[in-house]
Amino acid sequence: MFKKIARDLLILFCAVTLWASTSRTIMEYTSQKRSTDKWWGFYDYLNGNLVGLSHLDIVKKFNSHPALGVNEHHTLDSAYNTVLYLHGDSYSAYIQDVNFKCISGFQNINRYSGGNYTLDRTKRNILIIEIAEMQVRDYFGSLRMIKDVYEADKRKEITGLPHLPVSTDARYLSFFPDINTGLFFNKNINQNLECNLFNYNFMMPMFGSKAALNYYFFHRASGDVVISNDWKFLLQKESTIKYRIPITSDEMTELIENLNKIGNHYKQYGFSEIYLSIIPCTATIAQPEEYNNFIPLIQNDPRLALKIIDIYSVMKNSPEEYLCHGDTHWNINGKQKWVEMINEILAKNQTQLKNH
Amino acid sequence: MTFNSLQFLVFFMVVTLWFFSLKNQKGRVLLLIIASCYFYMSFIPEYILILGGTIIVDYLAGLQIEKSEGGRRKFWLILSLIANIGTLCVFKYYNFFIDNLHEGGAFFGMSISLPVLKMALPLGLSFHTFQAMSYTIEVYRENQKAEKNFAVYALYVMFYPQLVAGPIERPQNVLPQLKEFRPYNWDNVKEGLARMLWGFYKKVVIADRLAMIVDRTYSHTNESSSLALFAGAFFYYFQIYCDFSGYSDIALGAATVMNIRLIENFNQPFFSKSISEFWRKWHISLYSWFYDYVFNPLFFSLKSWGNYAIVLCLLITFFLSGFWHGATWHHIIYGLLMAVALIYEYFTREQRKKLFSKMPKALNNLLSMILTFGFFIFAEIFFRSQTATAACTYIKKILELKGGSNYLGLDRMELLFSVLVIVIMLCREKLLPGHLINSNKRFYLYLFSMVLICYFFGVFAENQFIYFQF
Repeated sequence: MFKKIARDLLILFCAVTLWASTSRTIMEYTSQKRSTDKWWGFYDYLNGNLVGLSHLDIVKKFNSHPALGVNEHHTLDSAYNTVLYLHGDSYSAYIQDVNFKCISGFQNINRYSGGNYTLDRTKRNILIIEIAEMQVRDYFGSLRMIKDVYEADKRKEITGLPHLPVSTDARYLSFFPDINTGLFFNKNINQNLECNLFNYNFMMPMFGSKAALNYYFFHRASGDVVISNDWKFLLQKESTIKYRIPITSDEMTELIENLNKIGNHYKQYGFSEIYLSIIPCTATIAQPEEYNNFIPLIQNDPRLALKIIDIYSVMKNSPEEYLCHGDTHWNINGKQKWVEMINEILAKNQTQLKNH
Repeated sequence: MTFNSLQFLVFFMVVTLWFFSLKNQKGRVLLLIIASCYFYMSFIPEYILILGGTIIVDYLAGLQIEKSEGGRRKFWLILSLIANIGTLCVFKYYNFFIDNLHEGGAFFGMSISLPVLKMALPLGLSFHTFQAMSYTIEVYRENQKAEKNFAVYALYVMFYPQLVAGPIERPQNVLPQLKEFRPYNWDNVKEGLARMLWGFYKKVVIADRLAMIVDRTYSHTNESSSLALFAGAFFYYFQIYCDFSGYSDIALGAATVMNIRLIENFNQPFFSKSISEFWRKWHISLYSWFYDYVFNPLFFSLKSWGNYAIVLCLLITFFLSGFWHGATWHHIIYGLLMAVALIYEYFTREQRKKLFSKMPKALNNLLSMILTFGFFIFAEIFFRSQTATAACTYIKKILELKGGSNYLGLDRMELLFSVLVIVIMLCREKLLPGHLINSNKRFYLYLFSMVLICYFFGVFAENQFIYFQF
């Protein structure tokens, strides 16, 4: 009898864990509740996401403090009626929320895709597409950006949406029906399970001891993290593979065509200018000897119709200044520099407008 | 959901515990079908339609073959084979043919432009189509009765432990087990769990550690020294064995827990003294499939050709086995190399016997093992490389005996540790081939130590199993 009850409880526990780790809503809810330093809270990546992933806090040398805020910047006025939109990822996170004033002189800065906005066509609208280098091939291998923005707008019931291109996803043949499987499957289920089953503050000594064993005995980091050749940076393992893969001319043509299509799409919708800014990964800057030159190849391609904010050239000249030692993102200087570059470009535009 | 993921561990616990809580076989079959669908769909959900389609066609074909006589039986068999081979051709081989057509056209100055298929290969396609074909062929040969129960037949094809990377089962072995209600058996649970842990050990402690060396040498061929490249090829042999046999151990162990015995896929191939012995011990389920359904029928139809029949049958069989592994020229070359080696062995068997009889038996065995081992290290270079040209470059660089970077991607300490875990694996498999631990205390101790070893010495990089790609 006891065995039977124990068995049924175990089935229930495993099934609920599997279901909870599949559900995005539940994961968001438990993440909020478990964001605490109590024993049942989850381990917070305070010393940098790569330090956290490899549990290498014990080795102080990689501990990093990724950029959250940048200096405020008040040099221009807002008389020129310009609104800046940003379609970005974690590199440009917090710009909108914490210190939007750092982008000077503009009444508004909006996070395009998921932001609360409607495009005011009486104003000068500028769109900056910021993307991490590692995401470019996947993201612009199709016209996914347009679809993402469209879906986000639709959810917010924004009217006057730009038309969606006919085919935005070439992954499957069209004869497969579009099955909605989100209820049962989640790509991040293993990370979620790890979080629900093992990622508790009281378990950290065990993870730390494995990390220490690997670091001091085998001289490497664990899991998805590797140590750079000069032993100064932690690198995302995937990035060290991806940043070497040569890009074929067909793939480059496809990427440029997609970027141009996206540019045309948003120009037609009412944006005056569209900028692309590709943020290099740490491996690109820290160990350039094996780099496939992806960013320069895209940025210097004469067929590309988008304007470029070239942070790559700045960072490659002084890696130590802009990179975090234990985080995939740039440090505060990197973000500050990027914001300054945007300000410079915008100031130039303002001057041109004034002269008109 | 790979076997070395948390998702699989939780999924396996739910399914197994639920399986034993059910009191009739109908319920168990239904549970296993739902579980197998979930397992398969966790990779790319849409591909379940392909699997479902082939299951329906083969199920109906099996019934029709049994019912019909004469030409109609053959018709239904051919229909089933066309459905399975056709699916393989479309999803696995279409792009290969198109690419070669394009290149061939360009060579002759012709411009051919046919569309290529931009989609991932459905997981385990080569495995489950072969398993489905073995069913219809066996029904046609009257070695197996057609399965009337659709659910049981569907489970035969999609039983989740062996769905995506084998072993390629035979209906005579699995179908009766799926129909029979088998009560909970603690010995089987212990044996299955111990075997699964041994499989995890081979995968995460050995194969994924060696992958760091192998990946580095194959991606830095030009900069690496000849010694480093040889080490890469040497360790790949162990990597692929631990990866694939580790997968098979987990699959067989998971099935054993549920009282289902699948066929063995490996039988200590490292100690083989000839190529033919090796192929009786390596990926047994695939090569016995080729032997039963390709080599044998072909050989009997060409028997009158004498030795030419042997040569031709071996070439065709191993050409197909190379092609089965991948729609690439380097896989085909790998298969043909095996065929050539087997042909050589066949025609020189008398001379070799005479030569080796003059040596002491121990030396004879050792030499034979080293030669066989050496040949496979060489041949596996074609298997691991991305292209045939890359494989030739790799071999050329080894033979140049030139210096360069000796760095293997691993620290010296870890390299020594890798050798140690390989030696432990070889000794354990040679000396203690079974997995059943009779004493409960010892079993729990084994369980606890293996979990700790796998956790502390495992390399968790979410590496997929190599054979998933086939």
